[in-house]
Amino acid sequence: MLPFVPWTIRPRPASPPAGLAWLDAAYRQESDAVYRYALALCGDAALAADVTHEAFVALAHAPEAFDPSRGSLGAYLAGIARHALLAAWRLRDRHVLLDDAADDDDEARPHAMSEAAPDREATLIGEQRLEALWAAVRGLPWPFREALVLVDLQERPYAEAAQIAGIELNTLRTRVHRARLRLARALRPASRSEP
Amino acid sequence: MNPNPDARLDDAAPPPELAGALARLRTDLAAEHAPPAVWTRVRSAALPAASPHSPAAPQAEMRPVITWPALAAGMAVLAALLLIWWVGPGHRPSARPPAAAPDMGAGPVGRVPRASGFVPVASPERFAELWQGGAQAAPAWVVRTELPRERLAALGLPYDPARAGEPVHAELLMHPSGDVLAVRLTR
Repeated sequence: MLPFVPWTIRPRPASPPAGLAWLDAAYRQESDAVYRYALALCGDAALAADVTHEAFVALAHAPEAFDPSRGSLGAYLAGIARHALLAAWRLRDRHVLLDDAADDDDEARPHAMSEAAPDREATLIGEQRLEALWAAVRGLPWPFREALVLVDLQERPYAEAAQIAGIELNTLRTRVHRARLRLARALRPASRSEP
Repeated sequence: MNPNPDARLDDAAPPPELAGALARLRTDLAAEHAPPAVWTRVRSAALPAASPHSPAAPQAEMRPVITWPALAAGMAVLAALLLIWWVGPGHRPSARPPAAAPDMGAGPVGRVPRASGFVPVASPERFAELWQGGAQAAPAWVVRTELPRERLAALGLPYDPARAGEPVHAELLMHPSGDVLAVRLTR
């Protein structure tokens, strides 16, 4: 006998089959990207592992919450990791800049990077040590750092990056642009910033 | 002067000044992998949810909240309650002797009606009129038929609009005059 489905109850989307095979496959496919996203943002391997764990456990417990029509599985998991990361930061009472209030005069100086001679600038920036590069990235305010990590370091499509960050596409474009400006400024040798 | 001020907002590659630094960062980040311990922890946490015997296990197919047996039982109870209410002394349209009612029990329960599963569709006034006008001499009979499912709504019963085109099996309690006194859903 066919089950009776009242009109007020909608069929749930197809869920993964029982067992761990589907979760194993999802983990193999997405775990590194989620972990790298978190690691690039926080610089803390243990915290990045924790939020990666939280993302996949959330997927295992509520697989029906992932809607493929709204975005990729990678974006969904990164979004969960993002929330977990922000929650962990709040618990640690760390300062996280969540808005653009501290935005400085990037708009007033839209061509700041082009003011320097490109060849010399590239040489000077390229000579920076890796630790200094990461320190400069992590010195960016959260919105810019996230945009830079998603677009320039993870090379995610703009639409997917905007979905993970929970912002409009144009907002993401602006943040990426400003993040690059700030990063270039931060990496510029001190001698060049002096008059 | 920049001929296209908006070009900087395009989905363009990073400027050459940063290209080298970003490439080094990308390479360094790509060398990172989720620690194996993460999968071990995920697996441990997910095992209860993934067990096919666990209530929290993902369902491979839709599990409706209400099933046919539950619906049939509910409809039977509803029909019985309606009949009790309808033929009860407080709701009869006239002061006619209650003994004339055809569906009253004669046992120790006295005036408790027997549940037939029929849902009255004629108004109480019309029902009483027909009953007094000849139902005793020419009793009503049951006609098996199929009804459009959407007629369930007219009877105050739930139905699935997605299956409105499918008929539903029913039995009609017909009066010799052609009036439908009550309906009972059989499937």
